[in-house]
Amino acid sequence: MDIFFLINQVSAIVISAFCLFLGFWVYFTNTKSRINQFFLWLSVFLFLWIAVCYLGNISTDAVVALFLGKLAYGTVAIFFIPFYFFSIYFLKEQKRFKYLGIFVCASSLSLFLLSIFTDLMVKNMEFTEAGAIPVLGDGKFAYFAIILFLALFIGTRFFVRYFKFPNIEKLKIQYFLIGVSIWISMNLVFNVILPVYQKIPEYWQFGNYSAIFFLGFTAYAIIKRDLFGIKIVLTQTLVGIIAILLLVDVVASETLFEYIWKGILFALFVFLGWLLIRSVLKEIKYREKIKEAYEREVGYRKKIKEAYEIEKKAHKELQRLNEAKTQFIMATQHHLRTPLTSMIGYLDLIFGGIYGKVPQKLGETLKKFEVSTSRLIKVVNELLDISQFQLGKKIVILKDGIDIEPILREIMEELEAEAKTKKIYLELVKPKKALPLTKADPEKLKVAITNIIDNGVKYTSKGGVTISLKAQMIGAKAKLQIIIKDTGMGIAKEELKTLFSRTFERGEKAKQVYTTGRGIGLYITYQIIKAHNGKIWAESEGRNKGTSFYIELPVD
Amino acid sequence: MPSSNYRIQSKSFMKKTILIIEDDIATIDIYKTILEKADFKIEVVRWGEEALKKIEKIKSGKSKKPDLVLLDLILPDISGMNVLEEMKKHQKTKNIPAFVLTNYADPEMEKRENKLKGDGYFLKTSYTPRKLVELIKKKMKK
Repeated sequence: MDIFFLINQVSAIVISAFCLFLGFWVYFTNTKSRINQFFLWLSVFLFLWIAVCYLGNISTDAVVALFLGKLAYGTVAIFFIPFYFFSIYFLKEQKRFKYLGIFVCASSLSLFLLSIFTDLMVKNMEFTEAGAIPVLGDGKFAYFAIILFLALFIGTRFFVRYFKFPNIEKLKIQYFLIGVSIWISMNLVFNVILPVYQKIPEYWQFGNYSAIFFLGFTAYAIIKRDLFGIKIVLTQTLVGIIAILLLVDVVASETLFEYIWKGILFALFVFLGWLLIRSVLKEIKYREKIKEAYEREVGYRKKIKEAYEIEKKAHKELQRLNEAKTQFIMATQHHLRTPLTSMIGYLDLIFGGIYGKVPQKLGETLKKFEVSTSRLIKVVNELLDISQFQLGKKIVILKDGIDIEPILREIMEELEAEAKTKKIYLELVKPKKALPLTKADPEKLKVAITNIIDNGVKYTSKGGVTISLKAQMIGAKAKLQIIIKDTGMGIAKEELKTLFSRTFERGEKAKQVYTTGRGIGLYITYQIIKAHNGKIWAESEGRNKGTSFYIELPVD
Repeated sequence: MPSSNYRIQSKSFMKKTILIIEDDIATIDIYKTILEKADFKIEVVRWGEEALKKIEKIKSGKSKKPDLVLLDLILPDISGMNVLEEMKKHQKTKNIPAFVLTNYADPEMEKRENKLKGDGYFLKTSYTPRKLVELIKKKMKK
């Protein structure tokens, strides 16, 4: 019995200390969480309960034993207050059950006071071989009834909420319920069945110590984010309990032989149990690693998705700003053109002789003025055309039955003066047969072709520019082809590819474009020809070997 | 003397009238100068509402019908397109030739003008005064 006494003593200290440790451990993982706070209270009360029971049991003084016995029953009663609040937060109850809360608190508090200050619960202590055992008083049935009611009431909430929770939360409740079940069933076995029905009262402490299962499981459920499968934990627990029972059996042995074979059985069981648990833990660790990796992967993906969303937003914002800019240009076109209208208008009046004969020198100067004004008008037109393209507006309105030749003549007339000053030729090769009519926007088509011929004149210093026209069948469709051939500086092969692109919009390249003036016009020409369902391309043998531009338009 | 007086009167009677609906003073000056030189009688209206009143007067016969209208789109009060719409609504005014002459290039506006069966949508910077006179004379001959 001495060994048993020693084990009991050690267990009482270790287990009660462990109770406190669990309480504070959980509390300090998150001191702000209500769950953790009330868990600490639960641990403190269970610690008190185990300590008081143990001390009462071993005490030999009648008065002290009676007080501790009463305190033990009082502690059980008052335990329901933190237990009630713990359940509310643990189960994430939306309603706080105000009146029920008052009822729970009031009944546990009165039970506590009645247990301590009256003889209703414990009326005496009986000193037996198994230590001091309380003798219960007249109020015991009322006491057990109320305790049972409180336990059932809180327990029911766990079952009710269990079915409403998502899986991970369900697992938490499972842990809690298993802890509670072990605790209650061990209490039933060691504190009720064995002492009352089998008359073996000496193992009652095991009932109390089993509170550690309740605390352990619950602590684990609170702290761990990912819980092990309940089956694994059950296996471990079962191994633990069988080991304890076998150990008790060893301690209770009466002969040496019994000691030896029970001891061997116990050692063998512990060894095999340890192997089993270790392999299970290994497996779990491995699984956790996989899960962790998976979660990390999910995290990365989330981050990538977030980055993508930000990028998308920025892109949208950029598009909006670009559109706002273009809209602004569109809106200001009227203000840009109005002064130009009067400048070119007055010049036209002067040259028309409205204000009398213009002296030659003044006339020459005003002519230069007119050239500059026309250039500015052209720039404004280009700026607005590009803005409209960017807004996706159709600036070309096609009309039926358009004759190309007069348009070309008009362009030639406008550019003749410049060709003459440069001493280069500008000629139109007339087609042998009359050309078919096309569907076109004469104003815009004129802008498009002017850009090409104007470039030809600009970049040719010897020779000249020849414009020819022909109709031809390409496949089943008749096409009209305009060829503008110059003997100028030519275009490098790599430049031919990007000739009609929006290179003028791109940083470095733009600087070059703005100095030469080429690029914007070609881009506009390309857009206009495209809107005519036509094609445009350029051919050049290289630098200083001239360039030929081909414009192909569908025939009506 | 009476005969020559008669001649002057008859000449001024024969003059065709152009109604200019336009708000920019310099532009008005330019068009007025060149068109008067080309022997047209010019009437100027500078506000959209004023233009609508003018149409009202023409309808009721209080005002003489012009032979052609030059219409700016961006007026200080309302859009010139509203004026054109009003003109095209009424039997008496709908056959007056009307040129939209603007500095606002917008394909959507041009489409509206086409739908209303106006006589053309022209950019002021592209149609210098002398070109405009040619255009008007061509239209009058038809």
